[in-house]
Amino acid sequence: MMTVSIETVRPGMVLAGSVVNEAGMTLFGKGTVITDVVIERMRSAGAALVMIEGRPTPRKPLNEELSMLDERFRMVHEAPHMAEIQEMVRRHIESLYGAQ
Amino acid sequence: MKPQEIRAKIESLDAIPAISPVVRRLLLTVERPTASYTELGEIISKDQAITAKLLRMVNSPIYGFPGRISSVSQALILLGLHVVKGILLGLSVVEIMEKTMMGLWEHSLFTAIAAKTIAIKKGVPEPEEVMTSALLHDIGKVALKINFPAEYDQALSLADSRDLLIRKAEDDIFGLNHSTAGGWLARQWNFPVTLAEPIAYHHKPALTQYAPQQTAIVHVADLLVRARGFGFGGDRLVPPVEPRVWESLRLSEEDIREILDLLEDAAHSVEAITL
Repeated sequence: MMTVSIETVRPGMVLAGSVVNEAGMTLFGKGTVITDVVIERMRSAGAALVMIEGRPTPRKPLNEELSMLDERFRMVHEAPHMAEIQEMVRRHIESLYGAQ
Repeated sequence: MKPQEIRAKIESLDAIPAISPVVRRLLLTVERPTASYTELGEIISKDQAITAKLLRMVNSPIYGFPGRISSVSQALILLGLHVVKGILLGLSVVEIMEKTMMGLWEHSLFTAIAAKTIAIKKGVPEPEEVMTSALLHDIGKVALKINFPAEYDQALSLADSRDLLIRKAEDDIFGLNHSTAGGWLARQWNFPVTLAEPIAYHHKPALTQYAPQQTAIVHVADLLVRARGFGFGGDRLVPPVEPRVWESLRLSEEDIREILDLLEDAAHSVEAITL
C-alpha cells in the first residue's frame, strides 16, 4: 500500500483504503478501481491523499540496504536472539526486491 | 544535575509548552463516566487544529482503528479517554519531536503501528492502549530536550562520537534516561499504569510490575523499527533484545514479516501520517 496525492492518482489504480468525505461518509471503498469519474468525485469531495495498492520500487540498491542492516546490528552480534532477528529482517528486505 | 531537580522541572505544568490549554486540561483529567464524554469532546473540539489532526489519524487505515470516527466524543467513546489523551499529547509534540531529533516522530509512529499489531496477535485486551504507550514511549526525550537543551545536545553528540545508544549517553549526562523522564510525565498526566509502565520500562522490561505484556510489546516494537532502520531515535544502533521478553512473546517469522510489511506500507504513506 502507498499513499499518493490526488494529482498523481491514475485510472486503473486500486484503492487500498476507503475514501471518506468530511462528514465521515464513505465515498469509495477499499478495492475500488480508479476511473476518471472516481478521480473527479474524490477531487470534488476534497480528498487530498489517497491510499492505493502496490508499492514503489525501492530507491536504494539491495546491497546498500543490506550493508546498512549490518551496520545497525554491529553492537549485538553476540547477544541472544539478535542473529535470528537480523536474519528475519534481512529476508524481509530481500523480499522487497523480488527474486534477485 | 541532581535527579530531583530534573524531576521537578519535568513534572512542572509547563514542561512541554507546545501543549494547548485545552489538551492540557484533558491530560489532567482522570477517568470519568461515559456520560460526560460528550462534554469533554466539545471542550476538545474548540481546539480545531488538534481536532482535525486527531480525526485524520484515527480514520487513517494505516492505524487500523475501528471504522469511521467523525467527532472527538465518538473517539472518546470508542477508544477511551486514555487513548485519546495519549494521541492528542503525541500530536501536540510532533513539531518539537522533529526539532528534538529529525525522525523521532516517524520512529514513534512506526513503533505504535508495530506495537498494536503485536498486541492484537497476542490477544492483549486493549491494543489501542498499547499503541498509545508506544506512540509516547520516547516522550521523555522531548521533555529532556526542552528543559535541558544544552545538556541534551551534549548527549546527542556523545552518542554520535562514542557510538553509544542514546539512552546510555543520556545516562552519562543526566544520570537518568528518557524512559524514567517519560514515566514521570505519564504519571503526572494520570495515565493508567498499563500505559505508564511501558513508557517507563521499555528499555528494562523486567522492572515492570503491572504491565508485563504491554511493556514487552513496546520493547520489541521499538527494536523492530530500529532493526528495519525507519525513523531516528537518537542513534543508528539496534539494542539487544531482553531474551526472556523475546521468548515470552513467541513471535514467529510470519508474525515478524507481517509487522515489517505494515511498516513498509506506513513508510510509503509518510505524507499521510506525518500530519
